[in-house]
Amino acid sequence: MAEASSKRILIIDDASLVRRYYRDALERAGFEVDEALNGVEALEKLLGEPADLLIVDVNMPQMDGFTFLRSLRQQAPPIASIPALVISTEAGPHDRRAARSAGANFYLVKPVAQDVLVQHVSIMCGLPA
Amino acid sequence: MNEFVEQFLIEGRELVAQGNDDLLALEEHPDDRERLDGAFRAFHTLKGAAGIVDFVAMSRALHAAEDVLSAVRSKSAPVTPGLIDLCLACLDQVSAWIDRMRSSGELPADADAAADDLVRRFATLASPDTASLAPRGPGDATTRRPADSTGVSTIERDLLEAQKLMLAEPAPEGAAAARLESASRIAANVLRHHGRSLDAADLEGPLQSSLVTGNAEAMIEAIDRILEGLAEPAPERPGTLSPQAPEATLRVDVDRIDSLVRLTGELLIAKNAIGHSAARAQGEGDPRALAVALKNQHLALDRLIGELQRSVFSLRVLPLQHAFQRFPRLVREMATALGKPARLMIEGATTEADKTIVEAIAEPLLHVLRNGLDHGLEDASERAALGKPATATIHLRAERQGEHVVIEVEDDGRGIDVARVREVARRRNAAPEAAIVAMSDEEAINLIFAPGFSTASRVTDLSGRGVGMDVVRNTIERLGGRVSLSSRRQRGTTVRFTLPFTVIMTQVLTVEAAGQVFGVPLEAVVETVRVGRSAISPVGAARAMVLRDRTLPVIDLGQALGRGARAAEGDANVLIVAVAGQLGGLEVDRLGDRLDVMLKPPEGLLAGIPGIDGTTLLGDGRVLIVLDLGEVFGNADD
Repeated sequence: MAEASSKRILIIDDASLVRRYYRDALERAGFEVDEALNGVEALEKLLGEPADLLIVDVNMPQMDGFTFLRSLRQQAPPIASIPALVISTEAGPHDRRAARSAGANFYLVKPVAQDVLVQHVSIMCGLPA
Repeated sequence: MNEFVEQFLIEGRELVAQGNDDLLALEEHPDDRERLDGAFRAFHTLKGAAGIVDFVAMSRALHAAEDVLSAVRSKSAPVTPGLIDLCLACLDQVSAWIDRMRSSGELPADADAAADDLVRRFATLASPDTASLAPRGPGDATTRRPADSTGVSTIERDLLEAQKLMLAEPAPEGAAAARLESASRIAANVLRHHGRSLDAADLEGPLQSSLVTGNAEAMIEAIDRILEGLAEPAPERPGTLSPQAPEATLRVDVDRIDSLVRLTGELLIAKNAIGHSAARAQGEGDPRALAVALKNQHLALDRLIGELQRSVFSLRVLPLQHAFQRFPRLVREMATALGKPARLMIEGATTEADKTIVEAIAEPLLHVLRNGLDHGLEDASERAALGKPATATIHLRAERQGEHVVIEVEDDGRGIDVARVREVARRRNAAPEAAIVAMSDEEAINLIFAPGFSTASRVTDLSGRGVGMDVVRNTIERLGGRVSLSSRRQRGTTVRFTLPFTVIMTQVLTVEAAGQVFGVPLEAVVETVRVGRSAISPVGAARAMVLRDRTLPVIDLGQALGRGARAAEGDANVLIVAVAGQLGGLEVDRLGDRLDVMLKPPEGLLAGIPGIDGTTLLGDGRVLIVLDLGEVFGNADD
């Protein structure tokens, strides 16, 4: 059976408070966690070591979340198909649609409670219930 | 006001609206799992949001409501009007609090009393054996609760639906494959999480097929099957469940079985009566009295067999709910994707229809719903300008009318522009010019069912799949039904399916003669033979052949259709048919396939032509004429 410790999650967000909040929840649930401050840094990290799931913020300097996702999906396998969870402050249908269009697998609206985050990440990584 | 509070005020309002909708629908259909889940989710999310802005009183009230709904979900409490009322009252209170927060920018100071009152009322509602639902201390209300299994399954569902939506979105250059693979990974992981690791491997086929064709449809369908499968409890042996297979078992009302048992009894009595007549025929009885008795027995048998047939067909009926259950959710998703708020109101989901129809109706209905949302509904700003409510309403109704089941989809959108329909029909040659001019507006609107017609001037990801309303019409007609449409400018559009209640399948053999294909009822065909044409000899104006010492009349179907007589050489394909107890030969050019078809009585011009039993629509849209052999041979005698 898959274990949380075997799953690597990359958090891509420019806000350090948010990264710490997510990391804290995920590490307590046993996941291996890495962080990137923007899309460019995330792509560099992924080319070095792939991840099992990406948690992607939308508004980031240098390369925003949607541009990052579009670029990711055009990379060579295996990193192109890594599932992505977008967490945005925008709740409107247009933003959700833009995320889907960029290749986001799921969309949550901030603020996301820690237990909700862990639930979603666990299912998206295929951990047993 | 901080960012979180602002977010909370916006989201809170939406959640209250959603909760209200779901509760009202739940009251109408207490078994509607989706509404129950939706209502629960609204309360759950509201509670979470209240926790983030530290609104403890509101959290407490919502927590009490959530617990009551949770009990309903685990089937330890029923949906009662009192429960719905109290949940609605709770939402009203939340709504009032949100309004006050918006105007004052602060948490209401006196919320505790109202919250206590709600918590107390929820506790009274809970039955004694659910003592755990009793109110908790204020401190407990916002603490994290372990997710129950049903709550997780809602996330699973949302995740799967999200993959479908993503795949339905056009992919940028070079990103389609990665997107398909990522969706497939999520779907497989949802299955693994659900304890169905073995089923996850089944996604490989659809994934490859979508990758090869460049069309996400196969993957979307595979995810749909998982969604249907999730409704079932996990199988004891993983991998044994095949969600794609049509239902092989039916749940049957005990009354229906009883009526079959009663009929069987009556049939036994009728059989005994015939045995009695047979004994009388052997004796010296009066033949006229015997004939009367036999005739009466025949009538009795005829009635019983007719009743038996109806009873057996009634075993095949299912409530349309089976087809409708996915729609509220799909409409919500599609409406969100299009940014057009819409509410689906379902009426008559318990209406029964033949299993064949219930299983086949979902797809054309979905197409109509999708079309209505995409083209029929105005966006929110246009609706506001017209003074219509911002949220559009789509009614899905089903009703039994005598021997028919009528299913309607009615929207309150912009209606259909007849002038534009005529114009597009002209441009795409959907009908001859003269016909388009001569048509009334009602007739012209129905041109949208013509092949190749589509009023969509832009291709959207929802309905721009290259499937027109003509496919909807073909599907309905293949089921033996009719489609009609009515529309009023700025008032809305109604699409109506009129379907037969029972579906009687007839087996036919297709034959070819004089370049046309006909159907012959298979029950009349005794055998097919190939004989030398020299063996068919003219007898007066007619022809005959000898088969195993019996002389049979032979009709050349091609000749009967007006083609000249054939040369008397080569071999002939002859169908030996039994018509009213007599054997006859029907010569045809070629024998075709056996088909199960739904026979419609001949309509319009065909109705006046003898020799036609009915028509049916073939899979490719052609009309197959099924011959009435009694009349074909009867006319030959004249």
